[in-house]
Amino acid sequence: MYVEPGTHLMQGDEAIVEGALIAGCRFFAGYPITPATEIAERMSRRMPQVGGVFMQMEDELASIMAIIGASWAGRKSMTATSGPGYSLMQEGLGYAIITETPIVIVDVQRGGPSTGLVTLPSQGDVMQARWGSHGDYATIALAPSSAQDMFDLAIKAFNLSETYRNPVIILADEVIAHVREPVKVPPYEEIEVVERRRPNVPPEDYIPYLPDPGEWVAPMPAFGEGYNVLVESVMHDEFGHRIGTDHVAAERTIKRIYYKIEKNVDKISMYEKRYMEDAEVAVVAYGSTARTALRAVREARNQGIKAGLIRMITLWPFYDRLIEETASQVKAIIVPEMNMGKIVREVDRASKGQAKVMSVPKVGGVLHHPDEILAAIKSAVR
Amino acid sequence: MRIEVMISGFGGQGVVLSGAVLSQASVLSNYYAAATYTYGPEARLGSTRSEVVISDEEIDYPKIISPDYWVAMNQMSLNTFSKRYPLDKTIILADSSMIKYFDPVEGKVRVIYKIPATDEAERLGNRLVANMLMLGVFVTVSGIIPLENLKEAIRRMVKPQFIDLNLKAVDRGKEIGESLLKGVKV
Repeated sequence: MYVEPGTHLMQGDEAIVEGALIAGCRFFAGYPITPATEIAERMSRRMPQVGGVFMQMEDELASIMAIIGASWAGRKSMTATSGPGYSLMQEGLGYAIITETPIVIVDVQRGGPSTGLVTLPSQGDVMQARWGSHGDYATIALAPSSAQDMFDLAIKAFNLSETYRNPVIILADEVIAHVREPVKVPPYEEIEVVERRRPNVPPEDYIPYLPDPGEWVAPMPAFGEGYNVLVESVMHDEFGHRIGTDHVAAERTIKRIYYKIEKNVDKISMYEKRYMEDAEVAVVAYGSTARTALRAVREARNQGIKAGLIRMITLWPFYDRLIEETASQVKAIIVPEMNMGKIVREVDRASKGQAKVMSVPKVGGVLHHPDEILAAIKSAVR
Repeated sequence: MRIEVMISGFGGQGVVLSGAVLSQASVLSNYYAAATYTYGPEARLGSTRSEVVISDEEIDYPKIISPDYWVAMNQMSLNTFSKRYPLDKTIILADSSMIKYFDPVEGKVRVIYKIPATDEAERLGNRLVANMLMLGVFVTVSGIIPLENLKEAIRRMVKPQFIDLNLKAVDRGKEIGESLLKGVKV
């Protein structure tokens, strides 16, 4: 039923499907788009094999609404797209946020704006992942750097979305989606899979948006279990009642859906440090760019420069403390990104002036050459 | 050890498949491998490229810095990429059925092996197996991957009805590779 434990050669787009299935994903709705098409393709073959449902939708607006519906029917649900489709999903994304619906969205980034560079990589959607839908909310976005990460983070994404009842976005890119490389599947019993908490009170005592004491989110029933929940896009109070003008209840709802993510940043954040123990220059990178950065850091070390790498796996919520601590240790922070310089603004803000922060932008649909990052490292220590 | 292999051609020549098969053969030979692809939106005839990095340790940068081997399957890609990479250590395996002008790389690279791969594949029954014939040449000339692992990769990744023909192409590639190593012109 699942891919067997052991090492398999897989494309990133294939690995993310296998990870999602092991995480319990049983509904996928999507519309094919390069470079995410292989995800839908494999899902269409694999879903029936695990007793799940695959639906090809008419567009991305329908795709995201379908997975929201499926999640309320009690199924872990996912869609996958690229920039143009992700733009179309912003309305549905907001709907999932206000209704606190756990879903996983994969955005395999390609070059934009608009239809853009359909087959080439980009990291241009990193801010859209945080701010793309209107209104105030917080979100979780993870950036895989390898086919292995696609497998691992698919599982993490479902676990986080079930825990926090929030959409989780996997921000891949064309290189990681298409790279074919070995993926290690651990024994199933070593894989942690989180299920959403279900109500343990009778339907008449259930308050749909009131978390239990000490919790950030309420237990979530499925449609048809007898619990009455108004799943609606208008602002609601704890009872799920529509509130058009009750600013006090609205403030409570907005702050809770914001803080359930932001106050748990320590738990949600994943990162990797390489060669940082004695580093004087740090490269902060994510996604496929982190691999180029690692190459550049190793090259710098070969040349006697004390460089290190912080690979951010969780991009949102942004882990200010990690950057603040890094900035207090190093003289300079280099931020290479396959965009005109986006996360660098967050890094600059979080470093609080303790280190010089340098952007190394790259656009046009190609990874940085390691030498471009190395040159920035060298100029920082000069 | 880090060996970078570039395969370039146009859409329809099986450039992506040969990159995939080579990465599988490498993993079967207990190496790390990362295969990435670059192609345009066209279904056929657009510029297409596989970049395969083979290493005995985990691979950081998955793209090519300077190719150790370059399987060039058409003239356009030879012209384009001769300008994009340092080539002084590069061994070129060129499909001389498709490439007639070698000026862009002549004198710039370590060796150019000229192999009439498409004509040879046609003689085997289908020009589309030129890609696997070239992989047969590659494993023979490079010596880094046992031929049997290449064949096993083909059995795993190629559509069942085409496996035999592809294996035949690999065998022919091996013969050609052995001749090239002996200095015999093919």
